[in-house]
Amino acid sequence: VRSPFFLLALLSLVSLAACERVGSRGAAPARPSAGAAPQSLVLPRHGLYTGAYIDFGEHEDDVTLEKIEAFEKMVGKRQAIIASSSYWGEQSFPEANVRLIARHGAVPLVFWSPWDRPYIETRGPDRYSLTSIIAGEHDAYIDRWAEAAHAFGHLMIVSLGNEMKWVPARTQRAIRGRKPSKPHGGTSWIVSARVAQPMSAGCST
Amino acid sequence: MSSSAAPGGKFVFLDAAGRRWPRLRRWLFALGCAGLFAVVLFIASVWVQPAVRFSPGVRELRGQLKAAAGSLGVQQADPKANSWQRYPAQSRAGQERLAKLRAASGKTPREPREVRLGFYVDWDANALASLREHAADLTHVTPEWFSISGPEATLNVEPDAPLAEFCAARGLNVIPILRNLAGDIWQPEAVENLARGPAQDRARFIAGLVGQISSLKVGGVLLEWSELDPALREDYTQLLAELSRALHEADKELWLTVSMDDQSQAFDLGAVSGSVDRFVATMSGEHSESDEPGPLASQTWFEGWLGVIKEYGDPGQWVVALGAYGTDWDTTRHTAETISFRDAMSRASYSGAEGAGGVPVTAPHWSGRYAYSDPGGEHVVSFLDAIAFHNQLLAARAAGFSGVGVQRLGTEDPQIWDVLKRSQKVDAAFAQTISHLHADQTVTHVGRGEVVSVDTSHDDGERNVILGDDGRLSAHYTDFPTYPVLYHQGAGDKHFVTLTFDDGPNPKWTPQVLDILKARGVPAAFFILGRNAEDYPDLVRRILAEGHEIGNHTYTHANLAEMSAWRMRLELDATERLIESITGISTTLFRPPYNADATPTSIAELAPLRYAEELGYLVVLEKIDPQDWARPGAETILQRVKDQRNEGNIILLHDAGGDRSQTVAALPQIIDWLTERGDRIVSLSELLHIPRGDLMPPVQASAQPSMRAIAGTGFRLWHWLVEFLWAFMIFTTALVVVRSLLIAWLAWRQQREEARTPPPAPAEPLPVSVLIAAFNEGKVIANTLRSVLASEYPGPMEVIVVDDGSGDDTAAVVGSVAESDGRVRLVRQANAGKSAALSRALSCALHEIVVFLDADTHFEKQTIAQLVQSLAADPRVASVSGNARVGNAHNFVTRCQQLEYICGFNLDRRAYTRWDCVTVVPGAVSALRRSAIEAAGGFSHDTLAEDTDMTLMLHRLGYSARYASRAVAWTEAPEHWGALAKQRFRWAFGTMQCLWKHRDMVFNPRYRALAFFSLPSIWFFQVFLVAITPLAEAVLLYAIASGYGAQIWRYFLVFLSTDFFLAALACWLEREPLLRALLIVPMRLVYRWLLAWVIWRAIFRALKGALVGWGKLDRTATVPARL
Repeated sequence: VRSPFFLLALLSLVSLAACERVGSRGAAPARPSAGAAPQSLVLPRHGLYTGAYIDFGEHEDDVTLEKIEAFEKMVGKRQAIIASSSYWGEQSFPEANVRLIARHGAVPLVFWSPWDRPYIETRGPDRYSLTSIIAGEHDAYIDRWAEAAHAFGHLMIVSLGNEMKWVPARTQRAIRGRKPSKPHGGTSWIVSARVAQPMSAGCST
Repeated sequence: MSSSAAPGGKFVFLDAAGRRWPRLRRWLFALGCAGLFAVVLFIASVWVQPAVRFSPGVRELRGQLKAAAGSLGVQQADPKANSWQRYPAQSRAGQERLAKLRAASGKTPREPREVRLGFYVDWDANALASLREHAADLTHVTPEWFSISGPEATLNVEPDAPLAEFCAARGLNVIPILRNLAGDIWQPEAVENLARGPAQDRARFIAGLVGQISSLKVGGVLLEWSELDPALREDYTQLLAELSRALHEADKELWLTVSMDDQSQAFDLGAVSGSVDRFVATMSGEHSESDEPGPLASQTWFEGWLGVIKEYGDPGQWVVALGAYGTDWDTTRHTAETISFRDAMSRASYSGAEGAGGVPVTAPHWSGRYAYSDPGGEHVVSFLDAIAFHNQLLAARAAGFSGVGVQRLGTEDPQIWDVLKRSQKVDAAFAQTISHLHADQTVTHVGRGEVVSVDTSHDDGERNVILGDDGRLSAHYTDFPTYPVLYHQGAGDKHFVTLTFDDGPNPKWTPQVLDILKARGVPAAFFILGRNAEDYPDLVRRILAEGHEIGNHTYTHANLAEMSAWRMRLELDATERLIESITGISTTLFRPPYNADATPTSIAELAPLRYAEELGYLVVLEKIDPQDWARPGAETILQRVKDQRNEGNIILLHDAGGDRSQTVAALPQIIDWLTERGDRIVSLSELLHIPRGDLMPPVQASAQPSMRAIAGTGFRLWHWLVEFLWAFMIFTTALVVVRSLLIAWLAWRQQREEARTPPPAPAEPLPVSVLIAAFNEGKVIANTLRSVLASEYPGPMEVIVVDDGSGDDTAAVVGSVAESDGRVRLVRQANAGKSAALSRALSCALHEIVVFLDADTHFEKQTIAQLVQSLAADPRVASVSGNARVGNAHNFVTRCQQLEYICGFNLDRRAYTRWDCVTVVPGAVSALRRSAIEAAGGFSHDTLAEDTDMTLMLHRLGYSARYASRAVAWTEAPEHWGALAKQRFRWAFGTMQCLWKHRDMVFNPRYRALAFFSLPSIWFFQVFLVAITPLAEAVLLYAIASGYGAQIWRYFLVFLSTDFFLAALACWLEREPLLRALLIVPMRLVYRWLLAWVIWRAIFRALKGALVGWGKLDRTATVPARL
């Protein structure tokens, strides 16, 4: 699946399904097999993938198996896609998180948010302003991150800036224009539009 | 009869020269000394402390804590101090609305007494200790009993009955907390679904909750709901209104916790104030564990929030919960833990914080704070003490709040209670009283991890407390108190986890555990029991060979808290010696049996750990205990590991001590789950960053080589002995069962054949001579003769009584009977012993068939006829035993003998008859062929059991012996233990003489069943097994004491059941009441000891080679005449 629009639609359905806590046990994607690159997310023959943006703490990156299992137990369904965040202020690729999610048999969705410490909701543009990204001031970090994502070697979905209005298309182009030195693995990009307030804890569109 | 056996014959066992016993005694003495010496040497070798000690660096945690230079307390900025300003006060309109609501709900004014609420947790013994000590200073207690979880809002209730009873006794009102928490994950969905879900679900939940509150007899419930979506405020208001109505109808109260942060916005406080009886404001947590380090409740922050509450509602409805604890942030690992005030003091003391300038608790924050470092990283500690408590209490009381809470009991500065109790303003003198910091014996904790070392020293501290003009107190800690400390280490990387297995090795489960670990390439530590290691040394070697670690778990799984220091040392040293002798390595790892997951809370509980540490061990506790030993199911074991994983990093499982199939089933799942979680399963060595060689150093060849050799040999010998005893136990049990079944089967077959066989056709009755040897039988002989003379025997009969030189009126009594009945003849002789008297009687007898009976034995009318029947029918039969029964069974001693005669003697004889291997035709009631007796050489004088001797002699001549069950004779049994012991000693000695005399018959194919069944039976079951009774009972007691009771009891029960089965069968065959068989139980416990004693006495007499007399019993004449 390469089309951003298609993925947008897919993720919306995914999120809605998660929010409604559909109890049916649909087909979960097969566990990613190591080294099988490039990979892509294949649409299920019947039904939908369900995914969830689980409460992983204030920085949205405290991914633990306990929290995933507690959520899955609560909704009665294994999640195909599990979302977490990677704030630019950390200057690191969330390898432990995506590996944990992959080991659990789900596809990690990473909200890659250009925010700097301290992470205060109402704070204005900071070190990672759009202009500085476009100007290439963070290319080294972006490359490092991309290399790490490539080394991860499993399918993952990346959402740059969770809400479209905050990240103009040209910024995304600037980032996506950065090419890793090796052929790309299984990273898919998605653009998500801010369509509503969160419907409830743990879900977002 | 005579006072000694007949002299002149070759009396069996007689050592006329008297050399045997002195020689034997010398040998026994030498062997005893050698054995004692070996035992002493072995104990000494175990006692000599093994030369194992680990790197000193392991234990010196104390020196590794360093205070950060300079104080953090005053200068540090507190950006959150004004966080309350984000919640502007509501308008006066809101206040008016509140007043109207209250008027509408008809609320009564609050009680004038200040609410004093103690927050209680059941997992900290210090909380209970604090509650017990300060119950009089509290009015309410809030235990953590209730929670709701899951989308269905399932109510979970975990009450604590002893706490409820304590509170009731002390007049404390219990208001349990209801949280929306599962494990450590908040579950807002539970509350949200309840609030906006169907009304009937809500009603059901409320009814369930109110029902629980009523049945637990508590005052109400305190809701602590967190992370709720504020968008549903109206739904929550409705929910609280419904809950409140139901509670009030049951005369219970509804309390609501409000935290001083964003969560305060989850409820419309004005709207719910009509439903809620009391609000509890959580007045700490300005900086929580998930925040950067900072004050827990600075005075500015505290007073700001008080102001906000006052604007929101009526302070008279609010209780402010004052923080009384500390938080230790590890700024390197980005973790934090809540600690007690005492913990904060110990950490400050051991890091030398006072040397770094002390710690001020002064304006503007009035919050204690210091920094230190340990080998794992940098730490910042904030704590709330009695100074902060005072200042906050002052503000709360001034603002008119209705009460205060202590959050929480067990973690508080003990001097807050002095502050709380004081109703008037403090003065300088009071400030002085809380300056001194008394260090009690409460155990504090320093460091993190489950590998612990102990320092039980404690020392008071000092803070300079100053009373300010504004009434607030400030302080400067100049000397931190030191409490007894449990140093923790081994927290390791947050994803490091170690598997440990206790109680093994076990031949069934340990290999399965090892296979799983090997297949997954995972290391583990095995804390082994010495006694199991001794049984399965190969498993110990395999554990080590596969790369795992071995720790000492004591020798017998003993509870160290309940034993003396020397016993504890013996437990540890013996196990250590054993490990050394099996593996060639020592171990410094030790885990105490029982409660390794219970953190010690008193200095007494620290004592065994300290002692182990003094012996050089590193004490390894654990925090993840799924209690697999209780077999809750593999799924539950896994779930418990999941639930507790965040609490620690050492997992306790068991590879022995019962059925561990669930552990084996859960283990792969646990490993897979941990791996999926991102954990790395590491050895203790890696967890502690200590080389494996330091934890388990090889035994130096030069280190106590002789002691190690002795200990090793001793353990091996002991091992073989134990193995032998087990094998013997199993062999003996099997043999007893087989013999019993065989006896039962033979006796039953014999009984059936007797019943089927028609009485022989009447023939010419054989003339019979009845022979009685009498020595001082004056009391009983008349009745005996009368019973014989009354016999309904159709043939000619003569009765010959030989008076063996009696000193009483025996001759006169017999003479008078003879006068009245011509069949009776009296023969007198000088005392010569029973066999001589019988020989004399035999020589006087006129007939071929001779019937013998004891002078105290009464015949029934058919006895003689029944005895003679077999002799008449079959010329190969030379002897027939009658059915001797106890005629005077009127006390416990005689009743025991009665049962013994029925099931021990007669049943055996009945069974032996089937295979023609009767070993004794008793002199008390029997009939023999005179020609056969003469062919056998007459009655011998060389044993005390002439009847057994004669029976065996007749077997040698190819004659058969029979048992006539209908030939009943009633004999007089000894009525007292002493008399019984005397009689049985004679029997035992005589039997042993006969066994020895005829030992060539045993396993001689010529004698068939006698050689292979009945004679070996006597040797093994009546001599050997009876002789080892004391040893068997001692082993039984030892086994019970060592924890093998369950296994041993099975064997004991098999023995007892077999005895009972045989007794019941014998009673049934003899038409005796079956209930009589129950007597076998006390007999097994008491009677058998007497038999053991007489057997040993007989053995010693035999070994000594002395001449043994008859031990004639005094007659009581208590057998009733049955004519």
